[in-house]
Amino acid sequence: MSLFDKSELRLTGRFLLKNKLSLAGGVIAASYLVLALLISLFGDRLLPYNPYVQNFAQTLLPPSPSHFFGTDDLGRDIFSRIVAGAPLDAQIAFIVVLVSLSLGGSLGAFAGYLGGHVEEVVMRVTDVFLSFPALVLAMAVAIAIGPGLNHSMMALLVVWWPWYARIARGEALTIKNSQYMEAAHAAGLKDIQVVIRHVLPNVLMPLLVYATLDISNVVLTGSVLSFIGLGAQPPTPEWGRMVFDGEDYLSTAWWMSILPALAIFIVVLAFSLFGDGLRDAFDPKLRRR
Amino acid sequence: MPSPLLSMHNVRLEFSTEQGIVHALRGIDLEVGRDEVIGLVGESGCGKTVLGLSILGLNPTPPARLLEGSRILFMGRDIAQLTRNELALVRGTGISMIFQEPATSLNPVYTIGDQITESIKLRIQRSEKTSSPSSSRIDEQVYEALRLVKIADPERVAHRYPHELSGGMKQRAMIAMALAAKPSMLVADEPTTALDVTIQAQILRLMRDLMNEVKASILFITHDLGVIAEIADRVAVMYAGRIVEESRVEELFEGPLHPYTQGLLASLPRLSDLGKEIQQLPGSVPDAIDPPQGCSFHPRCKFAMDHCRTIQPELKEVQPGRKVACHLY
Amino acid sequence: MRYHLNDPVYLQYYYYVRGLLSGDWGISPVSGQPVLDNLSAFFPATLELALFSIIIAAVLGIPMGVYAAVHQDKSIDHIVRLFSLGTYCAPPFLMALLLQLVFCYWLKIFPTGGRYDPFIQEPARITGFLILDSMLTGNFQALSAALVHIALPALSLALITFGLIARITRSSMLEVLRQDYVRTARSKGLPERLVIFKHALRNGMTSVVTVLALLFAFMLSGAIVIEYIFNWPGIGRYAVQSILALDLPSVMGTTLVFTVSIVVVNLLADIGYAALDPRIRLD
Repeated sequence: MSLFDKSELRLTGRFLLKNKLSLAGGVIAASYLVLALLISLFGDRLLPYNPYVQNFAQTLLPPSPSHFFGTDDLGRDIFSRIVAGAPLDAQIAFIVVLVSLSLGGSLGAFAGYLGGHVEEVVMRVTDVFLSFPALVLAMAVAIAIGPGLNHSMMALLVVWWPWYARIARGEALTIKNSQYMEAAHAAGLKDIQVVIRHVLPNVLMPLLVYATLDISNVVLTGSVLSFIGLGAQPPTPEWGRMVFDGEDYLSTAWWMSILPALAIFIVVLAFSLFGDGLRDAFDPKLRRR
Repeated sequence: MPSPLLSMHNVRLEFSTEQGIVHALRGIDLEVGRDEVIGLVGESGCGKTVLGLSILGLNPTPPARLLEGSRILFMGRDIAQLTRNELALVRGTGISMIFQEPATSLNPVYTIGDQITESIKLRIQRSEKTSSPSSSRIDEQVYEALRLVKIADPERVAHRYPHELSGGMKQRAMIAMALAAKPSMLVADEPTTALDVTIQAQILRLMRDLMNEVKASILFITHDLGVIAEIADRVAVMYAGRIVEESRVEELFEGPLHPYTQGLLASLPRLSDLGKEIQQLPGSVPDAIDPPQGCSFHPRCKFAMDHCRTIQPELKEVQPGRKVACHLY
Repeated sequence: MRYHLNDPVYLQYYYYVRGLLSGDWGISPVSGQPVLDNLSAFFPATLELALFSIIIAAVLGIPMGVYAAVHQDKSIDHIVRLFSLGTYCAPPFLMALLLQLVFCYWLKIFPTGGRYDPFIQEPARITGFLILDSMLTGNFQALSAALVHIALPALSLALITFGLIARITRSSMLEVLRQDYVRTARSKGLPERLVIFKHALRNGMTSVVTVLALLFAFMLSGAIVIEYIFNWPGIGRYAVQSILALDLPSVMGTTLVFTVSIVVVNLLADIGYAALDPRIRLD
């Protein structure tokens, strides 16, 4: 089933619309992305307060009409910081997912299609990566290259691609053994052409579905990295880092840590709901109902 | 005439699917007497499996729906109206069922002995026995059940798992399990279709022999007229969700009444017909979602008359013990 | 000179492995303590927490999954699915912090951290598991202190993970309930309860065991965030501290422990599969 078949898209669209939760998730996710885009384009001009300026007269204030989410221990407006930090996780998540998808996916597709030693080697390597929880590995890499938001993104990149390679290889194997591959061979196409023209497009669809769900995972893992101090460093208003900063003040100013944590939750939930609906929409079995 | 064991009146069942409503059973009238084997024959898609499942209420009920007016009387009681718990009491000890694919119909994680024991325990529970027998006594009964289906070393087989047995053995085990609760009636849904021809013959012979030992009636569902000839006393022919003919086996084979039955019998290749062309019924099985008006066979029937297109024929007794649903009679 | 720091890398590696095998896992430059001692002190704490949490998560998740599968597409199914997705998506610190906020600071029912009350004497170390040891020595004061301290961390971990368990159980059960042998079980007249819990569930458990193994490994690798927030003296917290302090021997030691425990958990899962499904045993 080609991804770009018009009637397929229409059916998928109709299905998605029927599933209200997914739709809600999609709307929220889209709004988040729009917000992130706006912030990265226009910077702090859109915010009520400057997210970096400290104001010792206004520390640890609870949420109020003038400070929607209260202030932190250095007097900074938390609402502004949360909004300012919106693009950070989004950027990381998208870059990590896209790169993992393209590199990991291609590698896996090639490995699965070519088989033999290439496949063996690639599979052993991914096995090593997959046997560790992503967080632990990312931590290990992050220690090696040092703290910082960009470093944590690189750590995530190193750790994330094996999953896509695995999936791509599995799909490639199914395709390799299917009948229209024989047709392609009979038509005299060389290996590379076959992979590019036939294997990759069909591998792409399941990978995309997985990727949508995966964005949530990257955001979660990235925020945990920052939470334990390996990612964003102060004063960057990355949400995970903000939770860490606020932890000491939990009893007196819960808004410092709980609110950024909630922000992460909402974004992750939105992407997951949407990704779930997307996956269900592409699942031929479920569409019958 | 003793009252029939099972009596189905105007049973109608439909399935809601994405393509529309499938009318699987469109008014079934069928009776199963005591101590008899009644064969139910029809092509695939005519609804015979659905019929078998509907007796015990085993069609998955969200998509399936039994329509108002359907009555299934078992020993005088309408079991179509029972709740799930009440129906469970009828299953196993009243009516039991064996299925087409023994490989998937037996639970792979429990031994044969375990699964037969369940049926035995159920029977003991439901009979008024006050003391429950010891486990060794139950084991003995399990071996007995396996011996009944001519399994040579029951002690060994009872401790085996389904995947360790051959197809024929699995089917025997399933028959043993179904009979272990001593039901009055057995519904057999194409039990030999999935087996090799030689094994088929063995199982059929086994079931025929069992009829002498076990006091149960069998509703034998199959698409194979040859099987019917071997094992059944009476036969009902099913087409597009309705019974179109019913009679004793010999009478049916000697002189089928319904044009469909005639076509079926004519299309059976026989050694005496060597050199002749195989006769085929023209056309194909009708669409279950949108069946033809009137008699559902009329598009393929060479005797079709005008009113066959509009009026559905009733199943009537036209000779003693023979019923047909056709305007010719 | 003792650390062979001037030797080429491969020699350092060689000394390290040799040391590992003989019980010398290095000395932590931060604490001055041998790494192995630290690990053997912290690992039981994590193991205890992980065991507690996985049991709670399974007890919550599996019945929920079964219930949702049996009542597919009815409102309870949708609620379960949404709920399980929600808890899975929540960042680990959200759950932990919320629980800590509500139950420790606002309601003051539970202590905010640590594994034990410093004012009550620890029970004799028989197994290294505080809960077991206090039960075995009949020390109920110790037992209640231990339970009270493990409650919130275990609950946080369980709440994050039970959603996934419920989800997998549900989809697995849906598959199984469609199978022919379930129909056969019903045709025998077995009560529905038996059909679901004896015939269907055991066949559906394979996927659940896979997920349980995955989650247990996740928990053993520290459930880092939870240990950090609740100040639970386990290897997760130890790992974070070592990383932040650039305590290399400790980091390597903990990584080793993670690896080994994952291998062991996978082994246990394999045993579990064989126990559940006789078809797997002969391999």
